Amino acid sequence: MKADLTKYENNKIKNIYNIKNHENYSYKTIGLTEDVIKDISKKKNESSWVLELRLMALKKFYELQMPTWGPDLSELDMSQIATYVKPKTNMQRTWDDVPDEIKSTFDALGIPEAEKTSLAGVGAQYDSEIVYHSIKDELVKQGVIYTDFDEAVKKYPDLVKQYFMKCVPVTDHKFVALHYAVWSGGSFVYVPKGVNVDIPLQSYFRLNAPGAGQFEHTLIIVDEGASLQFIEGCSAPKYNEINLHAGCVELFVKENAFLRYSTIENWSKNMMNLNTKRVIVSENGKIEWVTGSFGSKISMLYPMSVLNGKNAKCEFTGISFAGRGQNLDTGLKIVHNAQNTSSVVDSKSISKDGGVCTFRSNVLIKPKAKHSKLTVDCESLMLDSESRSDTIPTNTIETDDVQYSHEAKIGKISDEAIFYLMSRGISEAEAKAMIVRGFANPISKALPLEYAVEMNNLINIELEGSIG
Amino acid sequence: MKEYILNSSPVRTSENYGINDIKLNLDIPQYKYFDNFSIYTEELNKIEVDIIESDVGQLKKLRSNIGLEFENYSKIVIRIPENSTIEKPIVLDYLFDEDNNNLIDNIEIYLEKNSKASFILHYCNELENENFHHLKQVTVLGENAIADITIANLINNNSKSFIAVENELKDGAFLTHRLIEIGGEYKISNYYSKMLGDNSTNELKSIYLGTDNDIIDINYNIEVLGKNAKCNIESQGALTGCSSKSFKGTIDFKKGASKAEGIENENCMILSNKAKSKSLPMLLCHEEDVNGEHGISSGKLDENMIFYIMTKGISYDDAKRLIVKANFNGIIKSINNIELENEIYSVIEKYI
Repeated sequence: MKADLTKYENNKIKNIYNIKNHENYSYKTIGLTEDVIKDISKKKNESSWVLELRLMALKKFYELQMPTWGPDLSELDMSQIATYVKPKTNMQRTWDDVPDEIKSTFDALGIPEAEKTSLAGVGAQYDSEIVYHSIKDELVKQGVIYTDFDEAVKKYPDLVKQYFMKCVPVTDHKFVALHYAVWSGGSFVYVPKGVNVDIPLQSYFRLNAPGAGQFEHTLIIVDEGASLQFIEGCSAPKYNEINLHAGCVELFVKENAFLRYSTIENWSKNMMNLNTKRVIVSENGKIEWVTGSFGSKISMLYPMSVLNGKNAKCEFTGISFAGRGQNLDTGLKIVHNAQNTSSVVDSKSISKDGGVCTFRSNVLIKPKAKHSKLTVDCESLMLDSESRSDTIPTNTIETDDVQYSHEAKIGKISDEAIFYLMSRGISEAEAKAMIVRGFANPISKALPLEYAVEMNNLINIELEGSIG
Repeated sequence: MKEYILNSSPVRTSENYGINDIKLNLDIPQYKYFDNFSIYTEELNKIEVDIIESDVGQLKKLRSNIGLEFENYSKIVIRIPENSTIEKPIVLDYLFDEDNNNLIDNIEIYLEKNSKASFILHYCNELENENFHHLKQVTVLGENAIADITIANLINNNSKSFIAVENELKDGAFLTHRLIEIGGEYKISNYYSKMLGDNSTNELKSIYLGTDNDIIDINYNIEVLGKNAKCNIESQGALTGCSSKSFKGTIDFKKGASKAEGIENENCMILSNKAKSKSLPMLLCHEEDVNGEHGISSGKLDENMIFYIMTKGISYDDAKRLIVKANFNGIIKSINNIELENEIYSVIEKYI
């Protein structure tokens, strides 16, 4: 009975992520040409400098090569992707003003409820535009800016110009160039000097339109001595055609500042998730990445931390779970570029039902990063022999005064552990699920309670079978 | 001079990381007959040895996993018959000199079922002339055969050394390989094992030493196909001067290799702030019921340990040498040949 109930609950959660609304947009562009870019820019009523950057990025996109490594991206045909889908609503400040169909999707995902109980601000993006944004008044009074990125470009052009494209350059790789050509939506956060935002802000990205791309831009500046916890969630219903996510996250953690950036990603299994995230950390600053990758058909995601200031720190805690038909190529990049910088990486992956998990990392310790320390720990769990799990870590050390260690393990669930739990009256399936949840526990612990529950739900769904 | 792209890793990663391959500009010298070599064994009657010196057209082109190929080379085939045990090591000794400064050799070692033998392939020179050496060493072990092979590259640092090893192991076979990579301004090595047999074991122990502007590129790849197979890669290295090293080590568990185990460890001692170390230790897994681990550690020598040794009246430089030698000691001692062990220690002392 208990098993049936769990199955019922898991199906309920699956259905929530898989809610498909009628495609109801006010404007849509397909493909990637100069005219399409001009069209998007005109529709957004942008300044000429923004359009110029978009056109320059488009040129770069066509110049840069496709990656010669990683998962096969040949199914992606940019001429068929809807590069901009404007929903039939403008950005609203109250949920009551959001159209019912869209609001009910976010209701089912629990966003308005979480806003009431545990968030200091929420941004909700639907297809290409933010449809809802809010921030608590007390934060506004302290000078915190949390708004959608389109609005930030118009309202704070000088601040945006100072940081936009400075962390992730347009030449970084082909899909960043694509992003800069067609970006739309996303979030902008500025936390002034010395302000601590104790309650998290959350942006949720929902892609509803079939065959569409989502290209949101997130830019966060945590100024000197300030702190912020930011949560990013994403999901989409499953369609037969390829959807594309090529967002970009640029983060700046200034001197003595702190940022925790948490992501629970549950894209549908027709999604190519080619996202780029990067942070530049100044002296005594600290970045904490907490990341759970569950969905998508293909993911190529390697959050990068550039430790530019003395004593800057990075902590990365991540988990990937690849089920049937999924190829999740995830990991991280870290550059130690100053004295006494340190990093701790704890990465886990689970492969099941033919899923492919690849942990890929690149660590670079530059000559001036004397007295730096770095520990990388990655562990992979294979739940059957149809699946695949690869660990591909690269490290480059250009100074002698460094302590670097990397450890990786691949294996199955221990038969002894299953036997022990079964001897306590627990079924084999539940025993395996308990062990997998225990395996993921370090990541759950790093998440706020509601999101830890969501992550456990996603693990339960994956263990039961594939979503969608 | 021609640019070559060599020693490609079995799985590609971003070109930006600069570790997938190594690009070298090489002037590969013309083939020359190399006559300064000898084979020692006390049990010649128990083994079969063929020495084939190639002339054009007599042998197939020699191709190695490094990516180089040669029309002409010398080939030695050693076969240990079924159920034979050779107690003392079979030693192949190559001494480079002014006339013998270009060696392209292909050594194939076959151990038939239940046979056992050990081998030392020793490359050295007394002069400081420039040498070129490319070795392709092939090992095929039959069922339950046991082989212990040490390849000691102790040629001078004006030389270029390329060592490619290819192995095939059948059921119950046990192969221990030692690669001592000390000589040569270029030290390019490739090691590929196909562990076909159930219960087979492959141990690879290697030492590398980079000095001055040495370029070291290491590419090890062990494919585990047999059930209950075990492999172990242990690599100890030290870098001084402006030397640079790329270490690519792969353990690839193929589907069906149930209960297999694989461990890979690399420890790189960085003794200079101008030396550069790159590593790519890969674990590839297509089988659930395996145990795979890898560990990498890099960094400078432990200052506390150096200080402790210095309190015993030993100078800083000697303390450093002592620690490096101690890290190499486990692998060198396992050769079990005092003469060669001492020679390796003295070459290491010369460079550090």
